[in-house]
Amino acid sequence: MDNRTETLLELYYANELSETDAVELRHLLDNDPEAAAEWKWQQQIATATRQMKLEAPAAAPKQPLRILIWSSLAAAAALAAWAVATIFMPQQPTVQEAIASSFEHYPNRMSFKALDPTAAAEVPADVIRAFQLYDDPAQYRAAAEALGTIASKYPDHPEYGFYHGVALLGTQNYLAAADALQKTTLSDGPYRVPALYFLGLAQSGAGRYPEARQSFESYLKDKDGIPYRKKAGEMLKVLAEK
Amino acid sequence: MNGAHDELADFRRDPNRGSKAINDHCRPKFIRWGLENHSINGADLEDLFQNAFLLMMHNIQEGRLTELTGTLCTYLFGVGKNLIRAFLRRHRRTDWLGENTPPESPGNVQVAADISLMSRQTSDNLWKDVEALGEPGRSLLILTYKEGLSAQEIADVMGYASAEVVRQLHKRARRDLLLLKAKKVLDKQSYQILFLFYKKNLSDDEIAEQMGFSGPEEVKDRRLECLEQIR
Repeated sequence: MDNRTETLLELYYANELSETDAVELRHLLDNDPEAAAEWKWQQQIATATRQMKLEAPAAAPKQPLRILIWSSLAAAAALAAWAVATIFMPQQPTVQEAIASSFEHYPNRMSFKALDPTAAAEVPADVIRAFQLYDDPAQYRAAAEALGTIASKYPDHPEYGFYHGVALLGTQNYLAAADALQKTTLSDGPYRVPALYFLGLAQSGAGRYPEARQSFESYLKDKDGIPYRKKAGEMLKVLAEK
Repeated sequence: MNGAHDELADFRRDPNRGSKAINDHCRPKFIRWGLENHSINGADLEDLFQNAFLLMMHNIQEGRLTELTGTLCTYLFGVGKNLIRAFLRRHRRTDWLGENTPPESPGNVQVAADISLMSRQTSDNLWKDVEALGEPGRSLLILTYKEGLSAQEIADVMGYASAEVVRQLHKRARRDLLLLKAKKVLDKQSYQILFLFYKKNLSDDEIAEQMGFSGPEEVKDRRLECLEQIR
């Protein structure tokens, strides 16, 4: 593939292709099988990567960078350990995989959900709308925004912050989710304990492993920490290696 | 040693505390700034900030961010601005085909439909190969194809010296991904053709000579057949 084709494809994916460039690209794809093959390949990669997200580095940078020799030795040791682990040990899921399998939609327990339409009219429309969005996990992104708005507008309702945190977690926005859930864990009420579990997930996603361990442990120690007990234990196992 | 350098050193020493400080102070500032200056909603700005933060973590860990000219928050704003620029381009994409579809060959609509169907079927498996690539290939591909950054913007946010460096890394990532997939689906001889061409940079002439084909044309045909098979 020549440089011009490379340039045109780069412009295309960066959304910088002009109409003239587009005509040139189409002409190339029609007449150059190598360019057409490369185009197909990049389209496949694009489809696959559009389902992916940037992730935190495998290990948080706990120490300053070491000198090169140390790094080489450490890399060799890590490789050997990895080989042994791969061959002889059962595979432990990665943190991201563990979060994906541990996260579940927290049911909407708002009382107005069960009320008749007349009673529901006493609840502000923006609150009802936010929870309608929350009830559909496909709408987490919009729900997170709407719940964030009502959580700030109605600070007397810490539960809104909790659902805001869960929705943010559903969009894998871990930093913001941890922030929202942390506030709920400091409040009193029925959402404090489940918030500990979801906070642990958010902190795991943000690479804040020691804090995540602490949150899961607090959840397990609490007498009300029942529904997610097994999953919290599994997360602790995954985090033990971090 | 200036204050900014100390901030980076502090972050390396205690990334958990550093992350918390960024989340408490820098994130809200970035979201506010984004809301005031761009027509992007809060949830998208949260995503963009999170990506900026993750890129910063990678850059620190992989030694591409060793010195700060301002604060970590200023650095994150710099990364975030590049991400915002790409985001806005993505959402204001010129609909030069009239239907916002990728370029397809006139009179070759069936090929485009096949590509689309094939893409849906294979992308489920291909992402696992992208995962297997590791860093920086994984992030490079996501920034290019999902976030829509140019090579220069990727160089800026990932701390590479130039767009050309990014192009080379990108090419290598695509090639490694292709060979990963080829190894799974092709017979040994077909894989060898692709390996010599993409990894060893041999010409079709050289491959013909080395593998006993009649000439470069035969190699080229075989190569394109192989690509059809794995794509």
